[in-house]
Amino acid sequence: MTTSRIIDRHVRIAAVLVAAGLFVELLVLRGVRPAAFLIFVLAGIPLVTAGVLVFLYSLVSVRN
Amino acid sequence: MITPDTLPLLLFLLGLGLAAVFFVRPTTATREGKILAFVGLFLFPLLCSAVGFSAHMEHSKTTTFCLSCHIMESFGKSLYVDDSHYIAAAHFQHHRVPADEACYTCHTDYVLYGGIRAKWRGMRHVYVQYLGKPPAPAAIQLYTPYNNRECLHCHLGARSFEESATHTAIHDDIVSNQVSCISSGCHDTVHNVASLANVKFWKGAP
Ligand code: HEC
Ligand code: HEC
Repeated sequence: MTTSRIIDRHVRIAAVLVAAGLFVELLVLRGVRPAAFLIFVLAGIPLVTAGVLVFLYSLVSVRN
Repeated sequence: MITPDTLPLLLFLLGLGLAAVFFVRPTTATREGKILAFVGLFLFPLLCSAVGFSAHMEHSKTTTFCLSCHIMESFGKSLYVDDSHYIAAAHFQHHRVPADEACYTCHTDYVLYGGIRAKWRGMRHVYVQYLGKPPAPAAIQLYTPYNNRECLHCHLGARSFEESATHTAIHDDIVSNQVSCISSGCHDTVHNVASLANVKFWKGAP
């Protein structure tokens, strides 16, 4: 695989994680109960964080 | 229309849209692509999460939030007792505490970072509720005895408080928390959930 293809794959994984995380966060955004908060913190934020980290990794992983 | 209510929603939809773009076309080769990726996969996700988190922090102060756990139901009911000796009821019904943040207004600590401490206690409640053994509502106790500081946050210096002969006589002991505001014989009826079966309720009761 070429360098740019590897980057593209990382970016794609990051996009999926970020989207999944934002989707979960959006689902419980209006919830006024502890369960909504827990899902936000224990599922939404970790997914988004993972996505952002994968994206950052894609920036530094491949030297051009 | 954009209101404080719909703004977070809009942010999230934009964020999702941007992420979708990079799923379909994960090209970051161009300069524009790089910038857009930074916005879509870094700035927006973090911004949305921060906005969402602060929304949840606001929600956690609401009366609705506190009463969303079944175990707090009788405390919610105690706000509607038709007897002004019930301190929580007397404050709630006359909006002496904001009705939509009634519990939080009395149960936060009025010190630096008191709000954070209150939320941390809330996490402990969540833990007990889901993973521990929740007590019977009437057996629930505060972690530490109610501190006069919370009452005095509103009442100290107020004419109705300062002009009462009883308060004047033991003013220092009240302020230093030596004598509790809710001592027996003083304002000792707060929620009294064990006795709610025998009281009258105000019309607004749920
Ligand atoms: C006017 C202030 C006030 C309001 C409003 C208020 N509380 Fe309280 N609450 C108190 C005080 C004071 C105590 C301590 C009572 C005691 O130690 O006897 C207390 C005690 C409690 C306790 C411990 C059990 C007990 O009865 O001692 C729980 C649980 C509680 N409150 C929940 C709530 C909930 C839920 C709400 C909102 C629906 C609420 N409180 C609203 C002042 C208030
Ligand atoms: C958020 C502010 C606030 C807090 C906290 C608060 N109060 Fe009050 N309280 C008021 C206001 C406002 C009034 C109405 C004006 C007045 O009587 O001074 C009031 C009235 C009262 C009255 C007179 C009630 C009546 O029916 O005549 C008592 C007694 C009282 N409070 C006791 C307490 C005690 C005890 C606490 C602590 C557990 C407390 N308050 C906490 C704001 C507060």
